[in-house]
Amino acid sequence: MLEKKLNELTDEELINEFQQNNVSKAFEIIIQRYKNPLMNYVYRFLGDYEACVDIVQETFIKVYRYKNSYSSIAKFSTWIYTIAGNLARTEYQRKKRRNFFSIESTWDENEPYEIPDESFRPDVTTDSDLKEEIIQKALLKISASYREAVILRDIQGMSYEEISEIMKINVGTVKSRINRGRAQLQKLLKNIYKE
Amino acid sequence: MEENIYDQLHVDLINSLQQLKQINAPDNFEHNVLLKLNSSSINKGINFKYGYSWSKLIPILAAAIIMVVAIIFLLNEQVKSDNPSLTNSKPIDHSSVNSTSKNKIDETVKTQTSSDNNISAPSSDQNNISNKETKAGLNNKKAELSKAIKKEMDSVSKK
Repeated sequence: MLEKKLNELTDEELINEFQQNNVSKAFEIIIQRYKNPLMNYVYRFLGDYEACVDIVQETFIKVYRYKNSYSSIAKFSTWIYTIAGNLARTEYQRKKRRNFFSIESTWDENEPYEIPDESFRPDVTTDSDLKEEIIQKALLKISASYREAVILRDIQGMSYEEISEIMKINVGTVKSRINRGRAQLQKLLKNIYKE
Repeated sequence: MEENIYDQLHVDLINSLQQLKQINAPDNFEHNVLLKLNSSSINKGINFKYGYSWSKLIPILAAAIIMVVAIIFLLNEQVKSDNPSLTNSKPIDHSSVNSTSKNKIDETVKTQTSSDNNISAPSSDQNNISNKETKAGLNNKKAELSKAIKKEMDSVSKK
């Protein structure tokens, strides 16, 4: 009965229940609602499933621990995406530093990008799973700041204002990053869409 | 013409991004979050179940340990004060020397010898000066005792 009632509440009402009355069921419903969208966001950004699971779990732990730092003025989804985004960016920087001298990190995100990957040939990209893999690889090859903006806009379907809050940049910068990110992706994936 | 191609590419790209498969969390995700929460709470010093923190317990435990050490020290001191120190040897009872019985004299000598042995054992808390003083005093007492024994023996033999 209580669970049914809680399920009908908005995210903001749920976190309020959790803040005021420490209703742990409200926190569990928040996890159920956000675990997959956050997994999608973090995975598209990092491309590493294991790391992604850890980051999303850490996001919920932070929500639990710092529940009182959320103010009802802001949208809950923006708040939780900001936490996940910060953690994902930290992990990305850590990985980048770790792979600095490795063979895998030969590409520079600021340099022009060219993918001489055989899998990008149109005749090979018939399978939808393979196409997804190619898109994911291309996403990982564009600049991290462009990537984040494109993921939030085109995959997560967020508004420019929400993205601006999550990334702590103004709306104009959000728009330009999205456009540049898309342009980079277009170049990388042109072989897929040529047909 | 080229612009139109790129516009079409743009639309295709956005469609492809929107149609990407949803990445799902593993089955035991919630369970693991709760497990992590519990373990991190223990590490952070917050005990949800009992409502007190380890950080508060640490000073209490430290105080308890100090108290136990203090009690052990005091008990040790008490034991030391109850047992006469080896340096403070018992005064020799001269009246026993005056006894007419030879056996008694022998017993006294035996007792004294055993106490002498104890005295000769060096105690860790004695300094060298007190050791020397004690030994000199004992030698005097020994001499007195042997004199007394001689006298007693003489008197017994005369009888």
